Amino acid sequence: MALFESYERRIDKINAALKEYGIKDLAECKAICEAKGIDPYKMCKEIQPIAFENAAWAYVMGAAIAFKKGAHKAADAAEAIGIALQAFCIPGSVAEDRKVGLGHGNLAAMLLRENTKCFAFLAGHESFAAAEGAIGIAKSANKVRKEPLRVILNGLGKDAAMIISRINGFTYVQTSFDYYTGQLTIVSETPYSAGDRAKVRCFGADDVREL
Amino acid sequence: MIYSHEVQQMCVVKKGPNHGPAPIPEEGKWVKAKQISDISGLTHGVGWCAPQQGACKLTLNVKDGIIEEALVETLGCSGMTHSAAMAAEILPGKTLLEALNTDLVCDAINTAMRELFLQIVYGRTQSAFSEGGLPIGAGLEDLGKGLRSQVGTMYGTKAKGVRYLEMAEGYCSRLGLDEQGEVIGYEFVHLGKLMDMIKKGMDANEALKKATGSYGRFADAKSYIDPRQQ
Repeated sequence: MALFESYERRIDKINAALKEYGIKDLAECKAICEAKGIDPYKMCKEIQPIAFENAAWAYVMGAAIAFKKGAHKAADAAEAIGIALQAFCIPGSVAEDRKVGLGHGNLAAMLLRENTKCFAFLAGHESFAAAEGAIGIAKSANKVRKEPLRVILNGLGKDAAMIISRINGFTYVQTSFDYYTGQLTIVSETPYSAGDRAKVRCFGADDVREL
Repeated sequence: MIYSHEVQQMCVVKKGPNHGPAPIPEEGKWVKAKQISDISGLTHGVGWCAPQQGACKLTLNVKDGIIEEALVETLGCSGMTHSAAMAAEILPGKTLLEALNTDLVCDAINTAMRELFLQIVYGRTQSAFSEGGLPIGAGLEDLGKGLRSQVGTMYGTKAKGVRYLEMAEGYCSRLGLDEQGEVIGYEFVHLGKLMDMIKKGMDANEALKKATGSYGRFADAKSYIDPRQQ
């Protein structure tokens, strides 16, 4: 079994990117992280247990690049991780073409900087997985921020929003949208846990106009 | 309701036909369905998402327009398993019409709901001719012993041939090959039965033996391969 999914299609681009930072291979990335006492592979799997192997290794690579670049601020390190995510995008794929890897790194950097006050996920409520990302972000971003980041999950489907909140311990915010005036009112707010997770507020919309 | 000036000025021309709709077969009766509450029956619908990377099989048991039972089975995408978990809670108790306008968050499940609706309102249910319909719980019959979905997973390449991975009977542990190297049977582990035995306290190795069976000319095979490793 290869180290991660679609290894052959990714590895040349990965090694080329590593060369730019004077790193030989992914094994050296792992060693660099270990020397600094961190295990990005494990952290990745803790935040998202169903993450692919390639995702976990991309974070190992990203962390190693961050160390090599001397990125001491969390936001700068996030940008370095974006470089690794981009390197893992398969050549010719939509993800590579749209710079999804760099985009994710830059997005994370924004969340870690104080001038960003609120992170609103505008996504489908089709899985609990996006919600796990929200938990991870809320937990880790605030470690380096002075002012806590507000996190909002927003998607289509009120029933789903309620269930996602209940499963993950978020606060479900029930809203009612007036289709004539465009006015949105909060009907109720139900926190499903007592801890940090309840600070994530989850909304469900009946229609794109309500989002 | 308002009539425009033009319509108000018209004289009445009487409407003749008044037969109502053609009756549809529902649970052994012929029903002239006019309202959603006139709809009853158990049936299946299959849906897919826009990129067609995942599919859903939805089974609903509807009584008097209300969904009393829902079985949601999904294949092909990890996210949709979560959507299915939500849909199995959201759908029961809703009217069929309400369910159409409820976002079931996964494209494939929404599509399955639409396809199933069309079948059921056109009188093409599985229980069309079953007197009194099927009991609540009939949806589980699709799963068989051990309550696992019937999933088939097979893989083949021109260069290396075929691999059976999941069959109706369960997880394919070995394939039996003849002298020519062609498949003549397979060995499987019935995962539902295996877990039932382990839960009852049986030793896992013993349970594995008991839940293992084979099909075809497996015993006569010249050689055996693990379809996942070889």
